[in-house]
This record gives sequence, C-alpha cells and structure tokens, in this order.
Amino acid sequence: MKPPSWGFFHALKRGHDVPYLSLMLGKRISDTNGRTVGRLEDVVVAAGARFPLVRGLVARSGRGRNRRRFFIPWPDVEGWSREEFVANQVDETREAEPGDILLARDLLDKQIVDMDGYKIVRVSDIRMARAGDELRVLGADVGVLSILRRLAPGRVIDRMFGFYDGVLSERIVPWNLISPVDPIPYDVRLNIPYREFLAVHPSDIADIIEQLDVGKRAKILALLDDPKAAEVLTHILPGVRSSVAREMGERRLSGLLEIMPPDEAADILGSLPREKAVVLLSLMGIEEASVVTMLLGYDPFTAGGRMTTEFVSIPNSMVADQTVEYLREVGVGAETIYYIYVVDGDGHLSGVLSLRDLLRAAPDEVVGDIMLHDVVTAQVREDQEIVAERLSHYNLLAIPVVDDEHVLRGIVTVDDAIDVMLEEASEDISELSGVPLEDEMTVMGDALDTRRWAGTMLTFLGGLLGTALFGAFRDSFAAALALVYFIPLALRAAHDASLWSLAVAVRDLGDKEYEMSRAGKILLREYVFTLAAAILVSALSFLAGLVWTDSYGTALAGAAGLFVGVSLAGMLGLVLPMALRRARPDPAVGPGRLLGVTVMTVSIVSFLVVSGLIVRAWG
Amino acid sequence: MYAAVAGPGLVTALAGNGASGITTYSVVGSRFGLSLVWVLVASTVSLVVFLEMSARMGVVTGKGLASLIRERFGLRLTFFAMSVLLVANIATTVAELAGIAASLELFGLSKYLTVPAIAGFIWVLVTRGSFNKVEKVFLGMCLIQVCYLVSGFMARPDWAQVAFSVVKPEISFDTTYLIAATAIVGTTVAPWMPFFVQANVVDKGIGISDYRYQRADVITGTVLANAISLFIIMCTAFTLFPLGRTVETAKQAALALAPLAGANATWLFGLGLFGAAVLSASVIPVSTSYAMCEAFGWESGIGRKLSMAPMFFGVYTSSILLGVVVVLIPGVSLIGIIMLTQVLNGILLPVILVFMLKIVNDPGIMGDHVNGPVMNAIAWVTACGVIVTSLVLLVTGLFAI
Repeated sequence: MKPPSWGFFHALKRGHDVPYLSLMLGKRISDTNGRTVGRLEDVVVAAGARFPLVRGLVARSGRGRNRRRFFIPWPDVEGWSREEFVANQVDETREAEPGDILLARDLLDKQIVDMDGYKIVRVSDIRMARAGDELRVLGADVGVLSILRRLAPGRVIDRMFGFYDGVLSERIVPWNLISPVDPIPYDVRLNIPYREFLAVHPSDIADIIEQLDVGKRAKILALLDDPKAAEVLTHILPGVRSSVAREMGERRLSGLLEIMPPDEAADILGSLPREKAVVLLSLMGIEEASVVTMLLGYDPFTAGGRMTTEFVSIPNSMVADQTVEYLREVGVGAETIYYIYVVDGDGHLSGVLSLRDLLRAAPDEVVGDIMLHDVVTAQVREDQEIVAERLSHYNLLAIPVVDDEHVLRGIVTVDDAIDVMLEEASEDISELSGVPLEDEMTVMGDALDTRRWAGTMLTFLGGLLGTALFGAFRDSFAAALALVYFIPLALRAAHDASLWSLAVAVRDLGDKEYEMSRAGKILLREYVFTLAAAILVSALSFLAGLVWTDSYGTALAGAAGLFVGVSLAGMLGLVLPMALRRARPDPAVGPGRLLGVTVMTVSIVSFLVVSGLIVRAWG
Repeated sequence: MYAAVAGPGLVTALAGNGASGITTYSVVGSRFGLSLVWVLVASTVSLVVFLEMSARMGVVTGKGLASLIRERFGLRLTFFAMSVLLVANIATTVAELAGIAASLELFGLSKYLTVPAIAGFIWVLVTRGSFNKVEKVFLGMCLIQVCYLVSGFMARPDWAQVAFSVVKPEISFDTTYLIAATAIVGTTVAPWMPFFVQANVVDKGIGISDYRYQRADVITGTVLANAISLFIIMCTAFTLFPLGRTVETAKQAALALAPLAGANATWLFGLGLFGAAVLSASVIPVSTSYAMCEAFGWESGIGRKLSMAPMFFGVYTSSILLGVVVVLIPGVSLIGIIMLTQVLNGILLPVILVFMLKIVNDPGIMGDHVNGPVMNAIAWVTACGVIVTSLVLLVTGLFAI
C-alpha cells in the first residue's frame, strides 16, 4: 500500500484536480506493489443511467505487436492520484462489455447538438465527480476552457487556472441530456434522449432544423417517421425548406410530399430545380401528383397558390343523411368539415352547406334545397391578401376558390389567411421602416448585423453629400451670412414633415394593395396639411428671422427657402415609400433611411437655391 | 449528372490559380526559364491525388477534413494542424490582397485606397451571403487566364524544348532555385484546397455511387487550371527570360501577354489578375473559418448573425484585416510578398498532407475506400520531397548566413 498522501480528498482541494477525463487519460496504472501495469486509455461507463457510474478502466500496455488492451473493473481500483491509478488486481485478458460506453472513444471530440440554443458543439472534455468511493459522469464540457486545459501541459495549467478561475467558466452539458446510443447517423448526437426528441412538437423541431448547418438538417429529418417528418417539413421556413429538400433522398422526399397537404407539397416542389421536381412528381402516386401539378400552375401569392384541394364536396342530389355518412368517411383527410360545398355534375360550385345546417336538416332532405346559394368565393388568380381580407370580412372559416368557369378548385382556410396577413404585415413594416425582414424581429437590437452597417454607411455618405452641397453654395452664404441661422431649422422641419408623411403613408396605404385613384385622394389630403404646416413654420421663422437679422430681405429669403424645403420634404415622405414599394428594394436601404438622406439633400438644395436667389435679387 | 457535381474542382482550380499563382509562375518563368516546369508537372500530379483523396473522404464520411482530423487525432494534434492551416491561409489571403493591390496599381489606383475598399466589399458581400451573385463576374475575369494559352502559342515556343525540360529536368541546389521550386509547390498544392474541396463535396451530399462524376470534376478542373499555369511559365520564359529580366512588378509580368495583346497586355493582365485575386480572396478566408469552427466545435455559417457565430466571423474578419494591414505596409514589394507567402505555403504543406494520408489510409474511417498503393506512393513522395527541399533550404540558408 502506498501512503495515503495521494488521496482524492487532497486532490479535490485544487480546482485543476477536478476529475476531467482529459486529465486522466494516459495516466500510469500500477499495482499495489508500485509496479506499472499500463496506461489509462479509456474510461468505461454503463449506458442508460442518469449520471452513470464509472464501471471500470481500459488500460493499455506494451508497444507495437505486444500492445494489449484490458479492462479493470472499478471495484479493483483502490484509489487514484494526479499521477496514477492503483489497481489491486489485474487480469490482462479481461475486456469491456460490448454494450458499454467508452468515454474517450465514443464521446470525446465528437459533435453533439446542443438543444439549448440549437447549435452543434464539440465535446472537448468529460466532467466527472466523486460520489463516495465511486466516480460518476456529470456531463460533457463544451466550453473554451476545456480546450485550453487539454492544450496546455501540466504546470501551465496550474498557473492558468489560478489566474482564470472564475473568468472562464466551464460549460457542462449534463449527461442526462446526452444520449450517445441514439440511432442517429453520423456524429450528430442530441443532448436530449431520442424518445423525448420524438415528442417535441413538429414546429419546434422545425425551429431546430432551421438553426443547423447545411448537411445536418436532412439528418435530423431522417430520424423521424414519415407523418412526423412531413409535418416538420411544412413548418420549416420556405427558404430553408428548399435547401433541406435538396439534401434529402428523392424517394423519401416524394413519400413525404405525398402525405402532406397538397398546397404545401406544391410550395416545396415549386422551390426546387425543375429536373428534381419532375423526378419527385414521377415518384409520387398518380392522384397526389396530379393535384400538386394543378396547384403548381398558380402564382404562389394568389388564391390558387394558397389554396388546398382537401375540401368536402357533394353533388346537389344527395340527401342530408347520406351527406353525414359521407362526411364520416372523408372527413379525416379534409382541411375543414364545417363547410360542405355542393357542386353540379361538371364541378361548378352551386352552393354551400354548413355543418350546422346539415345537422339541423331532416335526414331525407335534399341538400340542393337547404344549401346557401349565394356563396362568397375567391378567384384562383386573385391576390392572396384580398382573399384573406374577404375571409375576415365575412367571418368565414374557409372560402371556396373557383376558376373562370366557376368550377370549384380548392379552399383557402382561415389559418392560411392568418399566415397571409402576418406575412404581408411584416413585409410592409420591413419595406417602410428599412428594417430587414427576418424570421424574428430581434434583428433590430443586433448591433453586429452587417446590414445595419450598410445603412449607416448610406447615412454617412448622405452626410458627406450635404457637406459638399454647402460648399457648392458658399456664394449664397457670402451674400448673407445670417442665412446660416435658418439651416438647422430648415433641416429639422423638413425631416419632421417627411416623417409625418411617411407615417401617414404607412398607416393609410402601407397595409393594402391600394388603387391609384384612392391613393391619389389620400395623398392630396395629406399634402394640404403639409403645406399648411409649412406656411405656419415659415411665417414664424420669418418673424424670428426679423429679430435675429434685422433685415427684411434675409428674413424673407430664409422663410421662403424654408417653405420650399419643407413642402418638398413632405411630398417626398408620401411619394418615396410608394415608389419604392413598387420597386421592392433591399429593405436595408429602404424608405426609412433613403428618405432621411434624400430629404436632407433636397431640403438643403431647395433652401439654398431659393433663399440664395432671393438674397441676390434683394441686393 | 455531371453538371450537378461540377464546380468544386473547377472553382478550386481557378481560385487556386489566383493572383498568387499567376505571379509565382510569372516570376519563376522569367527568372528560370523552363527549368522548373518539371516541378509544376509533378505538383499537378500530386494535386490531383490530394484533391481526389479529399473528395473521396468527403463522400465516404460525410464530414469535413477538419472534423476528421479532430476525431482521429484528438485536440492537441488538431490544434497543431489548425495552426498550420491558419498561418498558411492567412499568408495566402495576404498574397491575394497583394494581388488586388498590384493589379489595380496597373490602372494607376493607389493601394491605400483600393485594398481597404475591395476588402470591405468582399467582407460585406460574403457575410451577407450575396457573394454568389457576383461570383460569376470574377469567374469570368479569371477566364482571361485563357489568354495565356493563345499568347503561348503565338510566342511560337520550341515544343521539343518544353518536353525536354519536363523529361530531363535541370536540378540545381542553388538556394534561389529551391525557393522557387518550393513556391511553385506551395501555390499549386495550397493547404486550403483539400479543406475547400471536401467541404464542398460534403455540402452537396454526394453519395458514393455518384462519386465518379465528382472525381472527374476534380481531375479535369485541376488539369485544366494547371495547363494554364504551364503556359504562364512558358509565356514568361519565352518573352522575359531571354532578356534576362526577372519580374519585379506586375507591369513586367504583363509583358508575357504582349505577343497576343501588344500594347493592351497591361490591362488584359491587370483584369485577369484582379478577377483571380478577388475570387481567391473571398474563398480562402471563409474556408479558413469554416475549418476552424468545424475543428473546435464553434458555431459557423454564413447565414448566421454575427452574434450567433462570433468565432466564425472573428476568424474570418481578422484574417482579412491582417492581410490588409500587411499589404498596406508602405514601400513593401507586392510581388515579394506574394512569393514569400507561397514559399511559406510550400513549407507548411507537408503537415496537412501527412494528416490527410493518415486518415485516408485508416480502414476504420474509410472502409474499403482507403488509398491504393500508387496513390500512397505519389502522396508520400510529394510530402517527403517538400520536406527534404524545406530542410535543404534551411541548411543552405544557414550556410549563407
């Protein structure tokens, strides 16, 4: 027996003696006589436990052809120090059991998906803890500190840890959240058990997939069964979705497309390269493929592009009882069963029946008699926004979509309409405010976002332009230096006027696809207000100018320049957002910012030109 | 199918022939004539072998090279490999930025203006993920390199002499000769290339059944680009070498295109150099950050916001910044910088090669797809050849002092 100076209690007092796997590997293993029997190669734990106990050590001895690996069960380990493990008996023929986890082999340096924050991290170390005579695994260390610990040799660690203690903390992913025996392909492991992962809501899985790197996304999807995978796929953002679809095998993907709602399938196919889409369609069942092909023909932003074909339709000769029976049969696959659409022999929409009407009707009543004839419909080529508004206006759960011959083609349901409204609203806000459209709006607070810098550069260049303009007009100043008094006022007033107009444009025009004549009226009304404000400001500043400069000419010149500048700025605030809306520019340089720069330029130039001319004319 | 997998080979090859390549080949051709052509031919064979290896590793494992290194060798050796890669890649970035400076100086633009502006432009485009929109423009400019083929024929070379110089090389142990040889190897088989090719292959998710198309792409791209390299050496060897004028400025290097373009040679050369430099300068720093993040498990990806992947953008930004700073040192010789960095690349190359060879021959990783004996022989000869050359360089360098 060795003296107990190497006891673990002693070792634990120092931070660097925390049992990290990296600090243990390669340590000497000796028997109780102090004879070296090998070096530590790996640490074995049992699979499946919450915080598993170390079951034993794997030692290696010898070199080259004589190299042997053998297993030392934990009860045979008497103790360990910073330098060595001591085993009281060694059987060089023992091996670890196949189902066991070897920490270094199976986990160290491998990747795991950190579900808390959804990122891929690498296991840099394994953190263990002493529990009585036992050693337990706490979890995987994925922090930067663990990288440093493994890089720096012994003595350096002492210094470093003394110094950094508390500065850099370890980042442990707890073991109970890691499941290294998951049936997950390649090296991506989840830090929650597989079974729990399957229970996560599809839209949350979709969120995770969106955060993963290209190449890893399809692998996550590969873990799920078809119905779940199909649902997850419908929840992924369109941009990411097409890249995920590209990563997936064609046979699997076509299988998923078959079972998801046809409108979603059409969206996905529409975003893929033509050849791939054709292959997928050919792999799908004939019935599903023909529906999807039909949907693919419509512009995605129209009722046709939004609609689903999974609605309930019946011939007008059916009786109520038959209809209920029919509903029972087909209701499962339909998006909604609250409306039953009645069509004639050629598929023309002739009426609609609500579930309530149906239940109230006598069993033998013909549906043609009880249905509502005056159906609110949408045209396949109608803009989705208008359709969504109609749905909301009439308080409908779904609206039937008909083609030019009034043949029923599909329905747009209220949840599709909500999506449309949300998309359009954020698009409008994004376009008008100059904040880029993102899946989340946190980007506003993100100082590191590159687009923000692009916008800042625009502002800066605008500022330079303004300065250059002052230079160009220095003759005007020379004539009446007092004009300088008016410049801050002119800039400020012009800016306010333009912002006011912008706000009005957003409020009254921004959220709708407006008609030109209506927009014209609104513009005119607002512009009258702007002009009135401009007159008021100019009049006041004329008085102020008289007091400052004691010269009619200069005061008049300043006020007139101000008037022109402010009225032009107000007009810009109304017109620019609308013009840009048509052009659909990059939101980073959208109206908000562009307006600022343009208004400044225009108001400076007009102020300087007008007031300069008046000053000169006055003499 | 070929069209679907085509790309990484050709882009790597064209970007690999970036400003550093064009410059190195021009300098070598003007200084040594045809006597180093054999090194280029040998390097081409090695490059084909190495890129084929990395494409195969990508297809078989579905992982990047950095990932494989980390999982096969553990943290310490990975740290070493990644440090080597980082140094080599930053050096190459410096060279490409120097190429941008040199090419635009041909048009009378000051480097103090152009280098920060172009570097900023690349930074913004790449981080915003919109570089692919303009990539074709620069690829198109790279095609100007084809002019060397025409110019080479118009210079009426003595083909027998060219062939002879490959078959029976004049090997010298002169220090400058060894430096030039190392530079050719370093610029032809740059350390970043296998990482880039493998990442590309993994991204595309190509299966082993489609692997032959991928291999075809790698081989044709490499051979095509290096044929151009050969002509660059030939053009300078026939126009400048007889005059005894070693290329010291981009203007002189442009003279190699004179048989074709006459007085227009300068702007033709300048445009080609610019395109190649921008393409490589935008590819290499990103490839560096991807490899680093992959190796150490940091969040990466161009689509990410900066705050989500700070290490990724940190490595990316600082390698560009460092390049800008070096190139802007007043009075530094741009051609000199480029040559120096390529020699450095050549010296560092064997490290990466040895790592790759270890992995590709590990049946635990590659299964049935380990290297055959011929490939191993070529690869090891390359690695040992470069190591020996570097050592001789070191020794002769010491004696020179």
